Amino acid sequence: MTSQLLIPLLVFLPILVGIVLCLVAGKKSSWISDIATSFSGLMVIAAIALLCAVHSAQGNSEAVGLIQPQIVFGPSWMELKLPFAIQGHSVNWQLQLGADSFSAMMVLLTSLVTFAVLMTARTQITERRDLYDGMILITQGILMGIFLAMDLLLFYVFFEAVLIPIILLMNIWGDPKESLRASRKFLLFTLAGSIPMIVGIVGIVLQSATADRASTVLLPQLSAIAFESQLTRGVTENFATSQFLILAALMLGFGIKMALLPLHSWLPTTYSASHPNTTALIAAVVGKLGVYGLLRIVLPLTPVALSVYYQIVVGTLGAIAIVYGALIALRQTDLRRLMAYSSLSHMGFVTLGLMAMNREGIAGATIQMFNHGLITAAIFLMIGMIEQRRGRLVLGNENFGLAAAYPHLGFLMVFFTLAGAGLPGLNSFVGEILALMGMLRVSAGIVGIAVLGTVLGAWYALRVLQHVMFSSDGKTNKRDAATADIGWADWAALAPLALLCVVIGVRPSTFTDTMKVDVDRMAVSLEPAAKALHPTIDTLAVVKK
Amino acid sequence: MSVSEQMLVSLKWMSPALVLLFGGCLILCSSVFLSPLKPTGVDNRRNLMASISMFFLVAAAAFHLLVTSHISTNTIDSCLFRFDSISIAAERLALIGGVILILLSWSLAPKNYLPEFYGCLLLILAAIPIIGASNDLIAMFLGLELVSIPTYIMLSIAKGDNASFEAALKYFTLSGFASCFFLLGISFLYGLSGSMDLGSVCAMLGNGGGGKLGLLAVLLILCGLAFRITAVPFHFYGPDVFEGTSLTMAAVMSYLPKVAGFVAMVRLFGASPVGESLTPMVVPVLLVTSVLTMCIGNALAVAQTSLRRLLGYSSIAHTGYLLLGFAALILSSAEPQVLFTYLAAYAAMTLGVFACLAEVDEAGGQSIVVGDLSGMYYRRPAASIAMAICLLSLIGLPLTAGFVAKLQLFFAAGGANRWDMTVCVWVMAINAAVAAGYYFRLLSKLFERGLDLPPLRLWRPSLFLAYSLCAVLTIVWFFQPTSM
Amino acid sequence: MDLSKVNYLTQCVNVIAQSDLDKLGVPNWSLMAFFCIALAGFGYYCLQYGVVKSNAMITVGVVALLASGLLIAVTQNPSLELYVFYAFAGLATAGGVAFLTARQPVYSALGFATAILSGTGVLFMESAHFVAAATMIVYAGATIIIFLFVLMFAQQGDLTTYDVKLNNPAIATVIGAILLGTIVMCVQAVPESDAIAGNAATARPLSQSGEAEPSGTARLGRSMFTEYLFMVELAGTLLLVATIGSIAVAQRSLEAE
Repeated sequence: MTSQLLIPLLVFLPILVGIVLCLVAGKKSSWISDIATSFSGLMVIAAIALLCAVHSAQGNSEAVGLIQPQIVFGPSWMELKLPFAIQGHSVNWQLQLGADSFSAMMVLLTSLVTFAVLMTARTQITERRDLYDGMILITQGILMGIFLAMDLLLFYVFFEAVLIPIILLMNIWGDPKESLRASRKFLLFTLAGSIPMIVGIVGIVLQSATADRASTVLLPQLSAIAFESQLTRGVTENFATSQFLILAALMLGFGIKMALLPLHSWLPTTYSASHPNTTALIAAVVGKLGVYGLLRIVLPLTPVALSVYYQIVVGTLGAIAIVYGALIALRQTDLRRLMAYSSLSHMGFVTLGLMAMNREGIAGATIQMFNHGLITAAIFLMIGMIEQRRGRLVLGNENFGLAAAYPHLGFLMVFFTLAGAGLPGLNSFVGEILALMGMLRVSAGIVGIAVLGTVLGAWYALRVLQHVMFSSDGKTNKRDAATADIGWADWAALAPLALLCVVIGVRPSTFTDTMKVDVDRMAVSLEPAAKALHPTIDTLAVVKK
Repeated sequence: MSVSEQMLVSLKWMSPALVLLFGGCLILCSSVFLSPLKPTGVDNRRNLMASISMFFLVAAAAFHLLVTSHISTNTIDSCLFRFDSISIAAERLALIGGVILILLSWSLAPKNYLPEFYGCLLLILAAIPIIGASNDLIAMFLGLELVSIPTYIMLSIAKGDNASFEAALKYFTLSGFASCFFLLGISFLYGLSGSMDLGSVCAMLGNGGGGKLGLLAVLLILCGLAFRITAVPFHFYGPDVFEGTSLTMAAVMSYLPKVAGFVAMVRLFGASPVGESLTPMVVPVLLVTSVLTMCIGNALAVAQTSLRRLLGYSSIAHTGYLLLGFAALILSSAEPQVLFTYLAAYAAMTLGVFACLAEVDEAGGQSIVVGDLSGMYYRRPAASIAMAICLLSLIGLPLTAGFVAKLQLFFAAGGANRWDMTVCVWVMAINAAVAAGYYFRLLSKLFERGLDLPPLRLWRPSLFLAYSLCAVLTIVWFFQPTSM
Repeated sequence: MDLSKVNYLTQCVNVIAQSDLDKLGVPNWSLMAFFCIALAGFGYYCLQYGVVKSNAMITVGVVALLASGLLIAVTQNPSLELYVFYAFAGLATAGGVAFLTARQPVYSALGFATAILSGTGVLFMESAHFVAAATMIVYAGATIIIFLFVLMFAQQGDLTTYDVKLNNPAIATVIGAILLGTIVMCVQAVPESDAIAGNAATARPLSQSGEAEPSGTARLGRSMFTEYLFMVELAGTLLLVATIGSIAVAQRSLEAE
C-alpha cells in the first residue's frame, strides 16, 4: 500500500512544490532554493525506494500482457468520461499511474539528474535561482508523470505538458540571442510530431473496442489485446498494413522527439542555446522521452507493423546516427554543439537496441538509456562549470589546459568523457555491447556501421580532452584568483553519477536483475513478430557469452 | 397536446430566451428615454447599459438553471419547439458567450450607440436558444434572421470609418444571399414533405422521400448555414470583417454567428440523421468542405502579419475542425455534445484572446499587426498570461480545454471507421501542427525581451474579469470536461 | 372595385388555370396564350427602354422570349396554367434583372415593383389570396412607393428624361388598351355560378365557422395566432430591431460624413 503512494508522491508533489516555489520566488536567491535542493534529494530517496519496491514486488505479479506494472496507482477518481460511445460502449476510461522496472529506472535517472542540476545551480545560476529551481521541479514532476503513466492519455498529456516549462527554462535563462529561435524550433518540431501522434493514439484506442469489450486506454490491457491479436491473426502482412497508419503517426511523434536522423536538427540548436544546466536536464531526460515512448508504447502495442515496415529502416537510421553524430562532432569547434552531436551519436545505440526487438537489444537499450542520461547530464553540467570559468570555449588551435588549473574538474571530465566513449569497466560499454549483440541477430551490416561509430566516438572524445584539458599554450594554465576549482556542491552533484557509472560498468547485474523480468517478458512476446517476417535475418548463430 | 398546453410548456422552457428578448427590446427602446450623452457621463452610461444587460443575462441564466433542474429525461415536444439536450446546450453556449462578451464590451462599446449595441447583443443571445430549440423550419429561419439583423446593425454602428462600413456592407449583402439559399432550401423541403415540422421533414428525408430535390434542398440549406460559420467557399468575408470592424465586434463575429450556424446544423441534421439515401452524397461534400476550410484557414493564417486577419483565419480553421465533427455526427459516430464541447472551449479561448487584445487596446497599445504584441508580458503581465493560456488552448496542448475538445473530435471522427474520415483525421492533425506554428509566433512575441517599451497603465476590472474567466474556464474544463 | 369583383377576378384566373375554357367563351386558346407571351415581351421591351441602348439587344431579347414560348408550347404539355406561370416568372426575372442593372434608380425601383407584382401573380395562381393581396398592398404598394418617394426627393441636379417626357406613349397606350381589354373580356365571359359566387370573402368570426375546416385566409389567421404566435411576435421584434437599428445606422453614416 505504501509503495503505491510513492507514485503520486513522485509525480504530483514536485509539481506542487515547484508551483509554490515559482509563486514565492524572489529576485535574489535565498533559502528557498535550498528547500528545492533538499526536496530533490528526498525525491532521489523516493526513487530508490520505488526501485526497491518494484524489485521486491516482482515475485508476485502475473503476466497479463507485455506491460505489467508491479506497482499501480489508479484510484477511482482518475477516470475520464466522455459523451460518446465507441462500438456501443460508452466511454469511461480508467486512468492509471504505475511502475515497472523500466519506469523505475527512468524515475531514478530523473531524480538523480534533477538533484545534480539543482546542486550545481547553486553556483551556476546567478539570477532568479528560486524561479529556476521551481521550474526544474515542475519539469521533474511532469517527467516522472511520463515515466509512471500506465495509460495512453496520461502519457500523452504529460508528454506534451513537459514542453511548457522547458520552453520557459530555455528562454529565461538561455542565451539571449539564440534562445528564442531555438525554443521556437524545438517547440514546432516537437509539436509537428506529437500532434499527429494523437491520431495514432486514437487509432489504437478505437481498435481496442469490439462489440463485447469496451474501449480502454490502459497500457497493460492494450498490450494484452495486441498480443492476443498477434496470436489470433498471425504475424502477416495484412495485419501489419492495418496498423501501418497508426504506427506512422506514433513514429513521427517519437522519432522527432528522439532526434531520429532526418528529423534531428532541433537537437544541436536546442542544446547549444540553453544554459548548460538546463541542457543537462534536457539532454539527459527529455531526450529519452522518444525512445521511452518507443519502448513503452510502440514495441508492445504495434510490434507487427514495426517489424514489417520500420525495423530495418529505423535500425539503419540509428546506426547512421552513430556515425554521423560522431563525424560532425569531430568537426565542431563549439564545445556545446560538439557534445550535442555526441549525445545524438550515443542515442543511436539505444535506437539500435530497441529495433533489435530481442532480449539483448532491449536490455542494452534500457541500460544505455540510463547510462547515457547519467553521462550526458554530467558532461553538460561540467560544460557549465567550464564556461563559468573560461567563457564559451571555441576549440580550434587554442589549447586550454584546464586540468592543470582545475584538477578536480579535470578528473571528472576525463572520467565522464571516457565513460561516454565506451571504456570497458564503465557503464556505456555494457549498454553498447548488449545493444550491438542484439542487433547482430538481425542484421550484421547495421552493426558494422555502428561499430565504426564507436571508434569515431573515442576519437572526438579524446580530442576534446586533449584540447580542453591537457595541452596548454602556457597562457591559461594558471588558476585565476577569482575562480576556484569545483566546490562541494558540484562534487555532491557529480559524485553519485560517477559512482553509478562505475557500479553499472563493473556489476551491471545490480540493475539488469531488476529489469530481467520485464525484458524477458517483452522479448518473448516480440520474438514471433521479429522473426516471422524476416526468417532469414537470423544469419548468425547465438553469440557466445 | 393541445395548442394552449403546448404554449405553456414552451413558455416555461423558453423563459431564458424570453427574458433576453424582453431585455433586448427594453434596452433598444430605452434610447428614447435616456438623456443625451454628455462627455462626462460616458462612463456612467456605459456602466448603466452594461449592468442592465448583465442583469438580464443573469436572470436568463437563473431561469435556465431553474428550468433545467426540473428536467425530465424525455424530450419535450411542442409544436414549434423541442426541448432536448441540444436546446439546453445551445442555451448554455449563448449564456457563456454572453457573459464574456458583455464583460468584454463594457468599456469598448461605441459610446453613442450603447442602447442599440446592448439591445442587439441581447437579441442575438436570445436567438441562439430559439434556434437550438426550434422544431419548425419557420422558427429556425426566424431565429437565424434574429441573429443576422442585429449583427448588421452592430457592424454598422461599430466604428465610423470606411473600413467598418465596408465590413458591414460585405456582411450584409452576403448574409442576404445566404438567407436566400437557406430559405430556398426550406421551401423545397416544405414542398416535398408538406409540413414545416422538423420531425416530419426529417422523417421524409430519412425514408428517402426526397430524391434529387431533397438532396438539393439539403445542400442549399448547408450553403446558407456555411456562410454563417465561414466555411470555404463562403469564408471570404471573414477576415475582411475581422480587420475592418472594431475589436468588440470582431469578438462577437468570431463566436455568435458560428454558434448559431452550428446549432442550426445540428438541430436540422443531428437529432434525426439525414437518412441512408442522402448520407452518401452529403458526407463527401461535408468532408471536402471541412478539409478545404481547415487547410485554407491555416495556410493563410501562417503568412499573416495583421493580427486581426490572423485571428479571422484561425477561426475559419476551427470551423473546419468543427465541420469534421459534424460529418461524424451525420455518420452517427458522435453525439451533438462533441460539437458543443468544442464550441464551449472555442468560446473560452477565442474570446479570451480578444479580451486580452482589448486590454492592450484600452491601455494605449495597438492590436493591428502581430508586432504590436511584442514584449507585452512586461507591460500587461496578467493579460499576457491569460492570452498565453488561451493560445495554448488554441494550439491544443494538454492542460487546456482545447486539448480535450480536439481529442473528442479525433475520437468522434476516427470512430466512423471509413477511409475518408481517416484521411480527414490525418489532415486535421497536420493542420493542428501547422496552426501551432502561428499561435506560437504570437506567444513568443508576447514574451520578447530586450525591447524598450513604455509601460501601459490601466485598470479595467471588466476586461480583467473577462480574460481571467476565460483562462480559468480553459483550465478548469480540462480537468472536468463533462461540465462543458 | 368592390370586394366581390376582386374575388371574382381571382376565381376567374383559377377557372382559367383549370382549363375550363368553354366558360370563357374564347374561341382559340392559343391566341390567348400568344397574347400573354406577347404581353410579357412588350413588357420586357418597355422595361429595357432606356437601359439598353442597342435595338439589336432588345430585338434579340424579344425574339428569345417568343422562341422560348414556342418551345414551351411544343415540348411541354401545354396547359394555360403553365403559360401563365411562365409569363409571370419571366416577368419577375426580367424585373429582377432590370432592378439590378438599371442605371437610373427609379427604373431600378420599378423593376423591383414588377418583380414583386409578378410574384403576386404566382401567389394568386396558388390560391394564396391573402398573402398575394398583402404583398401587393404592403410590399409593392407601401414599401416600394416609399423607395420611389425617397428616390425622387433625393434626386440631384436637373430633371431626368422621365421627368420631361413620356417614353413611347404610343406603345404604352397600346399595351394599356390590351390589358384593359383582356380584363374586361375575362370579367364579362365568366358566368355566374355557385362555384364562384359561393365563397365570397366576407369576414366571419372564427366561432361561426364551427368545426369545419376554415378556408384559406381564416386558416392562415388562426394558425398565425395560435401555433405560430411566438413566431409572429418574434417577427415583430425583428421589425423593432430593424427600425431602431436603421435609425442608428443612418445617424452613423451621417456622422461619418
